[in-house]
Amino acid sequence: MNVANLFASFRSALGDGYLEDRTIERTVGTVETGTVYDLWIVVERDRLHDAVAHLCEAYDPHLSVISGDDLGETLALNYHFTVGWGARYGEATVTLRTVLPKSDLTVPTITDLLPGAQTSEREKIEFLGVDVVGIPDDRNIFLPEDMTIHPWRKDLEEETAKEVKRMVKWEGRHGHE
Amino acid sequence: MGMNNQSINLEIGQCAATTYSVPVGPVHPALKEPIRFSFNLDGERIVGVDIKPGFAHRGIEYMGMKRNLIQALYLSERICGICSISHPLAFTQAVENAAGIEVPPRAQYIRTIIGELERIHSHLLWAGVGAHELGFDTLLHLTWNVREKTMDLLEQLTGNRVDYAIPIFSGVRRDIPEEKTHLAYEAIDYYRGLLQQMIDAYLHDKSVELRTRNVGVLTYDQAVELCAAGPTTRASGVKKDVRQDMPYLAYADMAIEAITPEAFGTEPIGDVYDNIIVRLLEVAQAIDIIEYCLENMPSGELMSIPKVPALLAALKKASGEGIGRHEAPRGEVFHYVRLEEGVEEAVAWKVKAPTYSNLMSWVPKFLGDEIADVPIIAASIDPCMCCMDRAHFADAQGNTSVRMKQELVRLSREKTRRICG
Amino acid sequence: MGWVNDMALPRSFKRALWVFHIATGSCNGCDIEIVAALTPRYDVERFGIMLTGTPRHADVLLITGPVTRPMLPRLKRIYEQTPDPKAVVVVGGCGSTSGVFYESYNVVGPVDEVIPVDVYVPGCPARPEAIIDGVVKAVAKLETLEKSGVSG
Repeated sequence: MNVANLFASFRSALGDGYLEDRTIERTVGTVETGTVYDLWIVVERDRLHDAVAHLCEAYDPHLSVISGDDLGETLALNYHFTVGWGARYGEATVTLRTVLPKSDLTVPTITDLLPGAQTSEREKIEFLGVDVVGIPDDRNIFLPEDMTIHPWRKDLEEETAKEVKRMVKWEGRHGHE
Repeated sequence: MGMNNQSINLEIGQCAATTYSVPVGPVHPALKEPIRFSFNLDGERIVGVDIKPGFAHRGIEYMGMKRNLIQALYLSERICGICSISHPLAFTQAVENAAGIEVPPRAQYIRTIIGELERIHSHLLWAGVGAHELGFDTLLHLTWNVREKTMDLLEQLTGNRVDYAIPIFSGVRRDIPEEKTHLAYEAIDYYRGLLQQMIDAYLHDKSVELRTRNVGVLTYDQAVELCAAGPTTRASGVKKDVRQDMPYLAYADMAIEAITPEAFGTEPIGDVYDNIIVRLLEVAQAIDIIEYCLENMPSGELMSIPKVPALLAALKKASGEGIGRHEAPRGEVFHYVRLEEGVEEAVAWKVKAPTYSNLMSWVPKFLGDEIADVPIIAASIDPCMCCMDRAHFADAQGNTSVRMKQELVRLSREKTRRICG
Repeated sequence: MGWVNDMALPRSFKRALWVFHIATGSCNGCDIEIVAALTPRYDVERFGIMLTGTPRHADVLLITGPVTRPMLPRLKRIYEQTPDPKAVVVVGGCGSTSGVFYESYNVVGPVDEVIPVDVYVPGCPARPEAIIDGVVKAVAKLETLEKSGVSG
């Protein structure tokens, strides 16, 4: 896994859209040790689609999942990919991170590049209130269809707490109080 | 006589043009996770499928982010009761990577042994359930009886049949002492002796082959595009296996190879038969891994931070992001954790179970096959349970009838009898 | 098995017991142990106890899992569809008391907040022996109900 080459290829593909990168090296093994890499690249939201397109073109990526992180004024989306699967010690995780302002929570879909991303994107719509532009199916996937709260948002904590209370003390309870 | 003239005036073309929409689930009689399918049928052929999961959604990440990390660890164990060590293995790795905590070598080997034992019991469970869906109840009972040996061993080594509570941050909670290793070697001999019989029963059986060959096909390209994981993708020939690609724990000391149907000598098609091949051969691989770990078990401590209050204090002080991945029996388990200094709970926690990755691969698998194949195709990705039950049929005239899971399984078994003559 | 004789498994119960199982959002640990109870090692079918495909034929309801919001109406409907006399057996810690799944926006609570429960089988997950014990206790309860003339 040539980390420098990977970063360089992204830098040339994205130009200004490439904001920062980080490499985490870990040693594994107790008899003969080896090294595995977790790579992080922060990209601008408008260049996210290009970054994923470059990833799909230059490597054969596997999307593990998209995770979201409520940072207060902004919301970070981490697209956890892995590249280099198929060979021993060949794989590294490559996470593309993009930060969205809460005032404009939109992000382009990547399902045109990688159809398997649909489940993860639908999950972000319902759990974080992100608007994924261009997704073919934006219905709730894990939450019930009539649920309107966004559980992972720290600023909408109150609404979620109300829903929790509604569940814990629901009116039709049998046999209690 | 007494026949309504209108009822015999249907034209042939009219009959053929009728399609049915069949919603299936979420409640099913036998041990299956609730999930709702909606099939569009043209006669017996499936031409469209829609999946609605979420009936077992409990809000694990939401609850976990409100508890301290050790409580969240016990919660993560109960995300799934079949792969109950897979989530803790990935979660502990994520937190240890985020906090920079080292795991002693002996603990890594013990984690690996229990993880592989879980793989054996999970694959045997799946094989029995698959046999049941096809109508071979005898094989279900035989396989699950054989599986009990693993459950016994797990109980003898860890104290419980399920939810072993073995991994903890910085190591493992219990040791596998010398006096107990003979139990593991006995189990290894037992399974090695049975392996050929299992392969004969599942893979050299004409009726199983007729029901599973070319049924529920997922091509190589579809598997890669849909980011499928685990035996589902390996059955299509995709050599993805976290233990091979990005080694961790004791797997880093062994040369693990992703098993595809080529290991059995056949070209991968990605059908249900290939899924059986991959899972049975992985049982054999798991036995070899356990034997290696027992023979090469390093000595040393079990936890690098043995006292729990010190551990909690170290975790509270830690800050950083960590990714943990594990090859569970069903595929890649992925945990992402972000820790902040001074905060006991994880500030961000994302869990990805393998069925999450394999959910979309159901769609190409179902299309083109018959309704009688629905139970076995649904089971083929090992969705932590198969899920077929009460089906609501509505025909073109709007007459409805409710058929039970037994009806679908009966259709499945009748097809077996039809094909096998 | 001594404990079965102690329970005096009712020979007077004229029909074999049919059990309907429903998982209301469980982790499947207890569900697998329920199926394990049917397999040759524990073999609950020798008592005439069998899993059935529909609640309308069931004598005993076997319920696992903390009830999730989408499963709440289904659980109620299944309870109503099961004819009397019936016994409700809750298997596992999360069905009895929510277990580890508390304070979530999608978990309603233990099963006894939704429908009346007769037997609680604790454990996380409950062992197959405990599950059989629970079902046998339900049999005894049904036997008492039938003897005393109480029925649907």
